[in-house]
Parts: sequence; C-alpha cells; structure tokens
Amino acid sequence: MPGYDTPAQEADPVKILIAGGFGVGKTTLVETVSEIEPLRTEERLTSAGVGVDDLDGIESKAVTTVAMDFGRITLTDAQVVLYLFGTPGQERFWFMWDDLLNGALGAIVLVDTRRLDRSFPAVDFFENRGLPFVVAANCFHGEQPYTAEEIRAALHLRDPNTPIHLLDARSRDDARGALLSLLDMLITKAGAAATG
Amino acid sequence: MCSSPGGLAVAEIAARMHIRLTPMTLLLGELADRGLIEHRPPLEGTETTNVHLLMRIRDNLARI
Repeated sequence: MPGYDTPAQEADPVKILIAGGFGVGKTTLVETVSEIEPLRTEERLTSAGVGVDDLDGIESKAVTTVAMDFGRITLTDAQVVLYLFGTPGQERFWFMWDDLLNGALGAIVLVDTRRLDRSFPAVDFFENRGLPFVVAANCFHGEQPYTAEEIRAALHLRDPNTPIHLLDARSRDDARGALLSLLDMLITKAGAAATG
Repeated sequence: MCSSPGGLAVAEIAARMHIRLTPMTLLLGELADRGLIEHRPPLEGTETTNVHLLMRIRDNLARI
C-alpha cells in the first residue's frame, strides 16, 4: 500500500457523485467548486437497455438521451484529478447505470427540503449499492425551515450518523465543506477497516 | 486534446468533442487496441479506500 508521502507517477482520476432529484441544484454545486465550466456528457438509452445506439434504418423504441453535468478539480499535491459527476436528473434512468459507481469514492446527495421525495431514489440507490454518502440540503433564497435532525428523520437514513449539511450550493466554502465532510467519513471508514 | 504526461477522463473527451459516451468509448477502445493511446482504468476498490490517498485528497481539497 502506498504511504502518505509516496509520489504517484501521474495523476489518478477519482470520482465523486453529486446526486439528488431534478432541480435540486446539482449543476450549481458542481459549478461552484469546479476549475472548469461544467461539461455535459450524454448517453442515449432505450427502453431495452443502456447505451444502445440505433443504426440507420432501424427504429428504436422510447429512446431517451440522459445527460450528466460534471466538473473537475485538479489536486496537484495529492496527485489526483477529482471529477464531480452530477447524476442525471431523470431518476428512472440512472438506476441502470451501474458504471456510474465504478471507482466512485462516494456521493453527496443534495436535497431540496420543499421536495424531499425527489431525493429518495438517490438515497435508496446508494444505500443498496453500499456507496458512502453525505446529505446536503440546498437553501434556496437563504431559507431553511428544517433542522438537520428533521431532515435526517424525514429521509429515513439507514446510517444515523450520516452528516447532514445545510448549505447554499453557490457558496464555495459550503460546497467544499460538504466534500470535506464526505472525505472525513471515508477516512474514518477506511481507518476502521484497516484496524478492524 | 490530451498533451503528455497528463490525460483526460473519457467523459471529458466525449463532452468536449460532443460525442456521446458509448460511441466515444468504442472509438477510444479502437485507438487503444491499435496502440495509439494509453488508457488508465479507474482505481480499484482497494485503492479508493486507501486511507493515505483519502487523507492526501482531503488535505489538498481543504486548501483549494
């Protein structure tokens, strides 16, 4: 296992997912911390499966294009390039996309307390797949009528120690705070696994 | 697009070239098969849970 100061040859890519229902502010959060303007990558899905391209002359049924907005943070000292991927807004499609989890460190589930149910699918998805996540409640217009504990209860989280952050997705400090909270959780888990 | 020694994530190349993810992956696979590009796969689970790596990421993130 590489030690703390072992230099890597080249930067390794790592990935953190920014999830949550439609319109909660995922792209805003990505944009706030990303060193590049958010880029959009698209995938075409058919009702039959994921990533099937239709050929000329062949009709495809129920073809939908889903898009992920993502950003990048180069962490030179850590020799890592961190990609932040916003999961597609259409919940019913990205469940099929297990590749999203491939190599992901963890996730931030962003919620809008006015529409908490929109983020239930993201919570279920990560809990079922065992991907660690923290929750961030986006404060629209500076309002946040609920406490972290009320949000935690409403989400029925399996892990009662899941950090809940009240933040403004446009604030760099807030966004970084949520990311650091996720990293702290991952470090605690990794440390426990090593000594357990 | 990718100047040495750095590289770009497949998604980033796809986004900048306005090509969808699956055809981009196929295209890059072809180039890799012909030895024209190098591909570094995502980190394995043992690497992404390496506490030293995570701490380095955390420290660096705190300073951005």
